Amino acid sequence: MSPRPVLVLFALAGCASAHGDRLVARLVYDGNKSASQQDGLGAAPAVLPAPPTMCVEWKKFTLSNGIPLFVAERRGFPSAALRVVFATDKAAAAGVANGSGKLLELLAATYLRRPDAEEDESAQCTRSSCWIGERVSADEAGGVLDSLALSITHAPAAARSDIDRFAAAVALLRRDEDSPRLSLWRNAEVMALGLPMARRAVPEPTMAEVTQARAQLIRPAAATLVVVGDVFAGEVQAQAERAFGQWQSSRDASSAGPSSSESIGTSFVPRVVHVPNNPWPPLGAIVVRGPASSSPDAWAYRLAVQILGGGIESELYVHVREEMAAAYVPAAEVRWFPGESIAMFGGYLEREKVIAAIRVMLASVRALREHGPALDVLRGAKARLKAELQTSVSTNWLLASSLEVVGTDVRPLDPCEAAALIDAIQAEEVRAAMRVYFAEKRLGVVVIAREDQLDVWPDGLGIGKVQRRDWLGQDLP
Amino acid sequence: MAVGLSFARYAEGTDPPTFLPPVEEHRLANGLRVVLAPDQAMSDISVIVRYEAGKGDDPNGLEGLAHVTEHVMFSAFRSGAHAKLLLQAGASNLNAHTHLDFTSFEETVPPEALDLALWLEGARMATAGSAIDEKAVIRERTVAGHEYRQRGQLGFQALGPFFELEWDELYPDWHPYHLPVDALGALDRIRPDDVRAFARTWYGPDNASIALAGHFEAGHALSLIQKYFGPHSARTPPHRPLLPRLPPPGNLWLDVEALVVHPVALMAWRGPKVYTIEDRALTVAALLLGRPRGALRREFVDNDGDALRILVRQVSASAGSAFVVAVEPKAGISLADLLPAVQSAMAAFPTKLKDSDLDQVKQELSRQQRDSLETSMGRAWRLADPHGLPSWGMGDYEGIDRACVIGIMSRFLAPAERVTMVVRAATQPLYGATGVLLHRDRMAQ
Repeated sequence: MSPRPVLVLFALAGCASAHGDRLVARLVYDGNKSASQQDGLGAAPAVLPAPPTMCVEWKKFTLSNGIPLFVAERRGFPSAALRVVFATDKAAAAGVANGSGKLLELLAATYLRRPDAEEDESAQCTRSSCWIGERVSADEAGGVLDSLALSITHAPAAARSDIDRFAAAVALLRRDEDSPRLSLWRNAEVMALGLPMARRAVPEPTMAEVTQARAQLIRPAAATLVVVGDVFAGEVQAQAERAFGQWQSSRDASSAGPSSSESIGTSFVPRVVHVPNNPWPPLGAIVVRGPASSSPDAWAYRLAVQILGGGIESELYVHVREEMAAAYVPAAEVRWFPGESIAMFGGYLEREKVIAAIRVMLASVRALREHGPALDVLRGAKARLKAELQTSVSTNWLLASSLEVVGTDVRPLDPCEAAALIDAIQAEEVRAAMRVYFAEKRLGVVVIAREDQLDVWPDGLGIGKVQRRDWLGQDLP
Repeated sequence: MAVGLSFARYAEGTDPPTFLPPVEEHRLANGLRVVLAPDQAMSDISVIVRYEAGKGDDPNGLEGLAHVTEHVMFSAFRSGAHAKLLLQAGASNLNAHTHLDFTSFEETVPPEALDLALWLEGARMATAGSAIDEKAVIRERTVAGHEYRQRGQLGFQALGPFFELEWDELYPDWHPYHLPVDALGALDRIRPDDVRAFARTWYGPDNASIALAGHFEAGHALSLIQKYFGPHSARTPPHRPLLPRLPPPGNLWLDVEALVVHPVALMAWRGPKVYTIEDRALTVAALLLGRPRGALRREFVDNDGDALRILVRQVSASAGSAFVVAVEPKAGISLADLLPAVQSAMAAFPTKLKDSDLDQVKQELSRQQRDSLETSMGRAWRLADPHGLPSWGMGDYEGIDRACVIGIMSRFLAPAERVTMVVRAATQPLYGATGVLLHRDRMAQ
């Protein structure tokens, strides 16, 4: 039946005339504005020092074919989390937003992800690794190791379902090219790493290339097993040996990951990028190129990031949200790559406060770089970072995913060791990290906004000429 | 001390799973409900204070007030010196939420910081209704608008405002869940006195629950709660008006021009109240249709079908619910073609429902529930709800069988009671604080 119009309601933004009479209780408006009962509470209790970070005791085994197995026994909750992690190498990881990056995403969607699992529950690939995981009740862990092994160690047949999954993943990938956050990240990577990425320059991978990538990456030499939960390490070792221990690389699999024609360079020329064709609310961020997670500077750098953009006590939250009301959740986000990292500070910004908010963020960065953190600020940042660590190991699933991939080496997180490293960092080390990684010449800005969404033109930031780029990071005239 | 005796929360025959601790429930003399689930095997404690007032209590013309009040009360807490101390003591998960029926404030703390966390929550309750900082209200009106525009994502597009628009259409003008389309416009009318009045009216101990889960000793925690919440006077909340019987839902078609790049369609039905068997059956139905390899996903997404994404969810509240199906077509596919196909598939679904699919979904729900109880915050969430079932919820869906799902779907998801909304990109830029919806055309089918 075709629709029959009965009413046209024109509700322009801000129109206040269309209120019905919803049946709700009346509020109590009384004249006594100092009705606080706080006096009855007494003084705030003394704060005890934060407790020591909970340690995780990892047991490491090596299967007969060389695959490392890490097991953490945790009693009290009858669940287990299992992960098989495959470290990619630098060649494979060089461009997550270009050909090989698409390849990794398509590999996860086509071959690694369980068909009945949501995207982030079963398998994912990033620049540094691919993982396949399961979260199960403890008594299912052994059986799940067997089924994971079955799906991983056998080359897939060219099934119709794989082809359908590949097609669906390609369609999603194309649609997500329109994501404003993806555009922000692409432009940040172009700026910080100098990747000449573009979908026009790099053809979309074919199903055959994805199949080849599977053969290259999903091999015993790149694999690490992690099992966490209410399990017994000895039993897990025996089950893992039975399931994975006989797995050998096929002869035709190259030892290298899928190659990329693009290499990481140095950039930050230009330092201000404006993407003008924006259909969304404006986005803006400061872009910084940071160290690798294995760098000796990494924890000092993390503390600097925490001070600037880590939660409700951060500079961004206090200045951009609470003082300017210029954003809902301005925050820092770090992506770790094999040899470096990129941090972005910002987010969706209030129309007509975009450049003013970025200016405030830059001032915070420069002040921290110049003076280093005050002691109480550093103390707070350390506490928040350690609380994040504690949260990151608070469930079996999270602990199994707290892995650091350095080259082909996969290491599970020991929160005690990390907390000790954090505690040892001095204010001067944070300042030193700021001076290296937030140096003026490696500090950039990406703004995604139509001109009518801007308070002033981005060259008002005073950090150089503005380059207009498109959604994918290519120069516009 | 607390009035009323501690009692076992589990009715006969509903023993908790052995890995979960026993729960105590108490009520202070001022009406505050206290729920404690101590578990020495955990390393932290989560605290939730939940007030039984939410978006459904927004006064007419001041839609968004519950949300702005939550922001202002959270912000006052955050900016105080004691919150800094709490964070330095290792607190995490500091957050607040506004739902249709309730507002909650929560944090996770190490055992050493429980005293301070309870003092701070007690202070929040004590100051509710006292003077409100005007600058904070102006700021949080803007920030709440940001949040409104960013939530409810399907892919990268924020659909939250459209989900609210569905509620607006599903529930008649007089219903508390009739969320008006110009909610963002109403934000600018909210004044400090309104925020103060909302907090004064609803943030009292006799309209609240406090739930603690994690590493603590129950007697000690109860004495701290008595110390920090006991002195607050009861402020009996006003009676909510009795709601008339809902008229049958209509069959509407809405054309919406909005801030999207790719068109989407939403179909919605008015549903039963939360915690009813009907609500649970529709939760199961949503998964049967919309989970990966679920009926709609299999037919329209997974097997190289015409949809890029399909989301199905049952959103429930105390006075009713909404069953929503959101569909994003692939490039080059018209919603005019895709929607009838999805509607036909839904109509045919009951004949194709297999017991094995149902069993898988029930197992999945049970797994989700188990996983949510691994953290102290997950447990505290479950316990804070005063209307919840007297259990940890592990067996909530056991009684749902095939006939039940088919019967409830046929009763609540009838084509004649469907609100269909097609959302397409605006043909001109949308300006102003409310720039989400440009206009809507309503048509009866």
